[in-house]
Amino acid sequence: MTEVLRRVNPLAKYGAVLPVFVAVILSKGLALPAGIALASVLVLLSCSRQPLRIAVWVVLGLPLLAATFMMSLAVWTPAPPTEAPLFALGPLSWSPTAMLTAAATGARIAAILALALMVGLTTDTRALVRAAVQNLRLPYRIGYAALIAFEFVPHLRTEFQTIRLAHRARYAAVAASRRFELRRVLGGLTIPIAIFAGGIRHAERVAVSMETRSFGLHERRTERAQEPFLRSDWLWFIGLLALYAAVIGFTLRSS
Amino acid sequence: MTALLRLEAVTITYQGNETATVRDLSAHLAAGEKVLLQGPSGAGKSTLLAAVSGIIPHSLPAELDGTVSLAGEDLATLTVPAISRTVGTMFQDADAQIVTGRVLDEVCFALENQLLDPETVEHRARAALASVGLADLEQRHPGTLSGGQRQRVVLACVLAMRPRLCVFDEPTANLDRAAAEAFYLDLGTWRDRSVLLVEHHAGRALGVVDRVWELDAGGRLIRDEAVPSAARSRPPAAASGAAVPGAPGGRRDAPVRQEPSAIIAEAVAWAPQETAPPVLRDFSLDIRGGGITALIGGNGAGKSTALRILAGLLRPTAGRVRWRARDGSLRPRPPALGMVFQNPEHQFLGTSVGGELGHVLRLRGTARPRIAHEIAALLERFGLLGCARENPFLLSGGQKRRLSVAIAFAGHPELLLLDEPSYGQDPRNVDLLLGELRAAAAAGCTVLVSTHDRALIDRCADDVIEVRDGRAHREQPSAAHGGAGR
Repeated sequence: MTEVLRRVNPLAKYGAVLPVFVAVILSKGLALPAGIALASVLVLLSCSRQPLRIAVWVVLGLPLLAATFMMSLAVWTPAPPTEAPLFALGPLSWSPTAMLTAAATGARIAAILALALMVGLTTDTRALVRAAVQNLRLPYRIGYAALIAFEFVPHLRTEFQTIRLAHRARYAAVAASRRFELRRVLGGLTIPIAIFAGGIRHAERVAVSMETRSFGLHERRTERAQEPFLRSDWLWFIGLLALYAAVIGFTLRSS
Repeated sequence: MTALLRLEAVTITYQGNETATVRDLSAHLAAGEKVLLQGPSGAGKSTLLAAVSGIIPHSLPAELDGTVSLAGEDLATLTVPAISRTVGTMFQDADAQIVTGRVLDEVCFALENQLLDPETVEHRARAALASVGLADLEQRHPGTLSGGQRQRVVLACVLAMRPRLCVFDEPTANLDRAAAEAFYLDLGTWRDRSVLLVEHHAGRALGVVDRVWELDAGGRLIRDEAVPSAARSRPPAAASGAAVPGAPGGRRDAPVRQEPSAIIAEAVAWAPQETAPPVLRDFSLDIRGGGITALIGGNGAGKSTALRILAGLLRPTAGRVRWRARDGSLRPRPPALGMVFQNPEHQFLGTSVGGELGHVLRLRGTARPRIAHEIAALLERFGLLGCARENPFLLSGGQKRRLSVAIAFAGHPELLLLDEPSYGQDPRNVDLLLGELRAAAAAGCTVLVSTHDRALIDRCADDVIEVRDGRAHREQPSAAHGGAGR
């Protein structure tokens, strides 16, 4: 096992995967998404090193998720009235046609997740933005806006925890009759609003402090890490496309 | 000597305000000169700094009359990024100045924007990080650092830019003593760089600045004078202690208390996640009732975490904490407490200053007819007169902090926990706070203060606990520091 997939230019991976996303979403049968999911998991596990926890999640979790979707969706999927159910549980019944339709949906979800995991687990978001700025001439202001939005999530999480602690501090050792007063419940419900308002304030301040650190001074900015699109990245791009095209072609012909 | 920065008849009015925050201010700052900007809380110090860095009027909704010019160029004709080539700015709120997800990237950010070559960028960034003592943390996510460490990151960002004029708003407020002294020692050696700074700990700054500008409460410049070289040669520590000689009710005059322990922590451990390294381990201490205990320790030592554990807000991952109830028994739950968080905005629930105080008073069981009276008293005690109807979020930095302290004191809680309560406060307000802390302790309240402010510790703490390596170490206060600076 090597880390080769991690070194591939993010654009090669995203570029190859995007058309496959579309194909999966438009697909009808079970074989195509199942094949795509399988291929993605194989590429992920053979071309990158993942911690055991994630490997187990990918190998067992994805099929389990697909199966759960299949079983639950099949109940709601209409079947031809003449068809005898495969099995039934009280008022719920599972017919073969409904099972097949639901299985295809489950497989599509699993395939989309597998594609996203294959790319996401081996790509640093910052590298993706850098690659887009360097190779696709994405304006860096847009790229950085995306990155900062991304950095916002941990910030909001800390804010939420601190605000909750502050509420808890105010109500410590308050008489039981008041401890669960309506105002506190409402106050608790307004935490998201407080965080949202705080988030906007924070974003404004961050924007101002970015300006005071010369953001937007020039048309370009120094890139310390280079994300060149090498010949090997072209090979990966074409190789991944070819792999998925083969899977799609094979599954379409056999169905 | 030509002026680097020239302010001519500058008047600044925030949108929606009828009165100006800074009025008719004219002054200049020569190249290489270091100026300390003083004035009471809410006098417009931060506003003036914002005008010098150009974010007023370019980025903030405020109107600026008069001219601010830098090396002969009117700032009104430049953009903020263009101004930032000459002016490096550090604001009060360090959290709002963190842009990236890695300490090193953060310090490189401005240099990359200035299109310096990659080698220079990394070299300068590493040098700046080393100078604030963060060389080992360059790969960390800024969110995982303590408040003081984040402030050092922001400081490193400005230092790495090597601007001709540095604008600092409370640059050492969250730093531990060693880091703050190192910062001013470094500042004192700068020859070709100008500095305009606000520092509530004037004693530290007076040792290195050339000139003092003082604003009155209405935002007028009432003093612009050179600091005599005698004051400059004085070591910073001595100057800070001498600010308030013989403050009433000093620690050493107080009789030694023999109160039973109010809080007992036994072998407490705490980690943010199971996999994360513990912030506290084997943290044991007892805190005497009816006294003032100071929690000290370097940036990132775990003071805020310890305070939250001792407030019962965080549950220890191991060990236990017990609190003494009114009947004398030890309980696993904390009594009524008032708490001040590092960032005061986190604890505001309401939309008006008076409403906030009223709510806490009602929760603490204050009789209805007395509430209005108590609110008025709190506003006066904490220097917030005239703010009752204002939105807590729209107060000045110092006012926000005083409101959060007033909220903590409202309704006479049995336990007071304050995280950096003197942050951003001028000496008068620190005196006010000290008086309140002593009065609360005298009334039997147990007070815990986490602080870097040595003067505050020397003047009020009955007991000093240092948080180091995740453990509590009791310091003998009078033996170790009682004589210093008096």
